[in-house]
Amino acid sequence: MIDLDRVSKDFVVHQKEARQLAVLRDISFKVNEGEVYAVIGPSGCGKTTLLRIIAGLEEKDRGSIRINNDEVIGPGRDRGLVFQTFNLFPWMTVRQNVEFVLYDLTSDERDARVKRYIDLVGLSGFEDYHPHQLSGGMLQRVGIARALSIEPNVLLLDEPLANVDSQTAELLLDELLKIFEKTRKTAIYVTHNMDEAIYVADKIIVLSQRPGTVMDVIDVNLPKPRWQYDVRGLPEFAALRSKLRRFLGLAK
Amino acid sequence: MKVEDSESRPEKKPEQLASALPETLPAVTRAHGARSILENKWFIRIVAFVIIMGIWQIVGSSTNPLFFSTPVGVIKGFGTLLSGQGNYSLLDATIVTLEDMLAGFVIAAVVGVAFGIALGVSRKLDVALNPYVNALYVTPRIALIPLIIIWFGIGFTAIVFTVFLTAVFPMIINTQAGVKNVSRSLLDTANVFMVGPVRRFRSVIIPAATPFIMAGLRLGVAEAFIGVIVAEMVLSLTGLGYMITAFGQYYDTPQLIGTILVLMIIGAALTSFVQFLESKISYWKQTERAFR
Repeated sequence: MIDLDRVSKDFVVHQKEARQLAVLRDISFKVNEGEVYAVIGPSGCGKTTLLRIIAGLEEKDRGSIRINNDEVIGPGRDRGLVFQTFNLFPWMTVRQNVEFVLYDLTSDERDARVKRYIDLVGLSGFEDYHPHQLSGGMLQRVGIARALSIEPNVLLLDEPLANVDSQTAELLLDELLKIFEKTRKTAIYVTHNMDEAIYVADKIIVLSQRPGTVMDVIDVNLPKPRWQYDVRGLPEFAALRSKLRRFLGLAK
Repeated sequence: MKVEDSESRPEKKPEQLASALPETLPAVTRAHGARSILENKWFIRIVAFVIIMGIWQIVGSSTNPLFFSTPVGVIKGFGTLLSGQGNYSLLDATIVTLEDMLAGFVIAAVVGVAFGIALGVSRKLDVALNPYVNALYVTPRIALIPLIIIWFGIGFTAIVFTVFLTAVFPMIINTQAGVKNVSRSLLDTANVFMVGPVRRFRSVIIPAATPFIMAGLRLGVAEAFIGVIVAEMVLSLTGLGYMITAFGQYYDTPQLIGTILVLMIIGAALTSFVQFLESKISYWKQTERAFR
């Protein structure tokens, strides 16, 4: 499904001296259809850059990324991106923010699509609100609805709960799990939060300190649906958490 | 003596305070109530206005009326202007001035915003033309008036051109800044969902630049007003600008100052009107900053 092969990226720090900063080194992993992968690592390890490369917003320097055997060469509507900073257009209503990305549909299809995904994230009744009238959690719901509304093969999430308060984040995480369950979406979920990673993912990719390399891929074999069991209280959860902590401690 | 005094003070103070507290409390409240009128901003303004007018009246009365007037004189002059009994009709002149200004401002707004967008979108155009825009912006426009007279003579065209030249630059510069400052993350969003260039321009760049464009229009209105008065003073035989020159030449100080007051009122009204439009159009500005 998604196949990363030795993806590397450098940032040019100084144009004239040709000084470069190695950001990512030989990142390789495969994500199977319908699986949710979390990418975790210390801050500055390049995890957001990796996601932006997969989204097509930044170019890689070496390696290849294939989605369903098609090489990624730029942005594409096979991928939907959820931003850490929501990135809603403040002059558009909730409905207009979603409609804005559905320009390829007829107006009937568009209306149906908007309704379906605004309902899915629980924002019915807020269609005509502007972003400045909504809370952080609601803003990110719009962000999620927008990304899902183009019905992408892959959902990419860049620390989606980092700007949401912790209680709202926990609620929203459960709803994301339900959405993953319902839509069977393949997803890459970038986070710096260990609990979030364990809770949401089938597999966790642990990146090292910059330049980011894949230190380990950890299987998360917790029972599903996870919102029905209090999986955070299971001994396996604690074991995964201490394993991750060791890795991230090692990385520092 | 003094040293002892200052040393003993801190010891006494807490006792005094503790014993005095219940008694002073109502007194403080009363003092606060009395003070609140003294601190009322309209009260302060009215007192200041009365004092300034009084000083003006006294200074004006003891000056040769050819050189300076008094508030009473200005009110009389203003009355003459309004009644139309003088040589000039205030209303007609105001209409002429506003027409001159509006014509120049509208052309400047259309050209300024369009050119500003072009400079903001195209790096090449910006690199090529930015030096000229900046050079013309800092050139005192009044220095160009002899050239304008050579080109257009005096009259409507010359005035409109002067207004255009004064008003266009803040609008070019602000629009360009607005287009260039569209947040990176919103452009990323349009890119990642593969929104085409036309929709991106219409639905992202223009709305994001609107607060800057409105600020440019506000500055442009102020500049256009300066431009029209300067132009009418030298390039016209009508309008408020011409009236000022004429009253000055006749040493009619009361009517001269009366006309200047009219200019102040029109200027303030124009600026607050554009500010009102600005607040209506850019209501989302505060959130845009918060969630960049």
